[in-house]
Amino acid sequence: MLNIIKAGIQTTVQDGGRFYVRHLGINQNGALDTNALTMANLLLGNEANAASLEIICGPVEIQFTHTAWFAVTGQYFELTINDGHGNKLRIDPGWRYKIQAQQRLLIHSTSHSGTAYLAIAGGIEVPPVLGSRSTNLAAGFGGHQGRALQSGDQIPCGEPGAGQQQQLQQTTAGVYQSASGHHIRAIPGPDYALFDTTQCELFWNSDWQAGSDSNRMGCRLHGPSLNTEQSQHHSLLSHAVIPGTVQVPPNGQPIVLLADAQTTGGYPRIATVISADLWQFAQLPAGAPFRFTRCDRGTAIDALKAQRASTNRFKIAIGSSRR
Amino acid sequence: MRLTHPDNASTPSLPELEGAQLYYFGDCAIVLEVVPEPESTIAAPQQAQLHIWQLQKNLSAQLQQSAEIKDIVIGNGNLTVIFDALLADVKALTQIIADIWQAVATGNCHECRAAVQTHELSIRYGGEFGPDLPTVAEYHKLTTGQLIELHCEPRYTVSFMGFLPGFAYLTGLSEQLFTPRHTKPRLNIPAHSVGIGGSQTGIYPLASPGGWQLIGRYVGTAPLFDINRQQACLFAPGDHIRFIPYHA
Repeated sequence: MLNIIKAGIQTTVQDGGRFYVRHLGINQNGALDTNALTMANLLLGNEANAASLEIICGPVEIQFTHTAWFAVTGQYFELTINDGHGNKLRIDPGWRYKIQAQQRLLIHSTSHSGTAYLAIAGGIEVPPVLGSRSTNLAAGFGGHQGRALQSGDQIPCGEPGAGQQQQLQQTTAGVYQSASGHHIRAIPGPDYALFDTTQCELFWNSDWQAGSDSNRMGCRLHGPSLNTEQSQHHSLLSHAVIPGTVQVPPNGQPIVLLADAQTTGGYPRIATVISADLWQFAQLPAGAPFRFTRCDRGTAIDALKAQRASTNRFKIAIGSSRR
Repeated sequence: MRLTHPDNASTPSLPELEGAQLYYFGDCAIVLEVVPEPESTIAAPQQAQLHIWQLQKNLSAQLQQSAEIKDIVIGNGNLTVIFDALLADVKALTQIIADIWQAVATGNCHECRAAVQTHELSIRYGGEFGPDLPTVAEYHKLTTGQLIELHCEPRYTVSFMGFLPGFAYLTGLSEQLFTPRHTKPRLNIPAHSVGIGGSQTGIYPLASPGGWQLIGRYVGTAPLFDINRQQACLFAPGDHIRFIPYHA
């Protein structure tokens, strides 16, 4: 069990997401950075998509009621184990550690912090809803009572299997943390033709920044206005949208839809971020500029293959006894 | 740009369809869109949407057991299949979509109407339940009574679900009631509020921010969205809805 002493701002239980429910208007939720979630879980021998705590802004302080193995992924977070006798041990994200009963884990953000994932060997064991343990904040279900964590919450954890326990004892293990880059690849969207040459060039060749009004629904970009008269007045028939869709609303500032985005929309879709690069929006430091790099679907598929190969190599290297 | 031509081996050419176009959307989705696009941008013609419902039904039945399919979502005259880009056999998938569309577009759609329900929804108009009712009435130079009558007159049809869990996009709103959205959206609209936004009317299933003009509130006992109910959403595409004014 995890006793939440300090919950941070919008810490939620997230796993790989829930699927086959978009036709009901239910968005997929799940970790904003599925790579970081996978790495944290594989470090512990968990299923890659096991539920963990997603931390967007600390400080978070958690007391463990039982001895447990845990791992935190996500760059530029400061981690400390407080043993309750005045001893504090600084530890690093990207490694698995064992914490004793009654000890506390402290997670602090820095100005460069992105999104962190705290995984526990055995997984977070809140009841699944519609096939997933992810939190649906819009409708208030799933995760822990359908909401962000609060001080005083108690979060149940599963027990690692015997094989998993044995694996954990055998070696220490850590993983290199990827930093988000300055280039995010995207494929021109279905409504790309609605934007004139100038607007398209602005899209690919400008520095964009993630606005402070960004959240799990979408990353609101600040940069040049992409508002042509034509795109402003064009009303599209409502269509499905997916995470990675880059919409341009009437104010001309693009929004990159993320895991909690609504399932349908009507704004022009200028581009779609490739699946392999979507995690970067979870790790962009505030105010850091980035650019979109145009690519085709073939490149996007190659990038996914490379990502999956990397995950498989990591699994082998760590000798995970479970998939 | 509607990507239909292959750019490498992992992106096969999409089959040609009659009355519809297939295109890639990102790296993990394919869209079928009815063409030609209707002259009205308000809603796809009724016949086209009937075909979309039937396509969704048949496609879901065929693909339900496939691990690589993540979602099938319909919109206004369109349907999107979302899949695992590495697991899915895109060529086979698009052929299935094309074959089912061919059958649907040339066949009749009477079967898909069988399970359609009609919902009569009790709506409390005005006062604290519909704070924008007077201003909307004034905008259209109507009395509030006339506005309510116009709002309750049509038999609306659920075109598709989206925007929020349990939110139904409806067709059928009288042109006389088309009202612009608020320029500054409200931060919190109570759940079950009934609103008009542009050419659409609908009911917010949950509390949400929103820019629609609020004219009333659904006061029936069955929630529009209940995660604990067997069928979480009260409405399904194809259902009919009538609004009945509630009298205290």
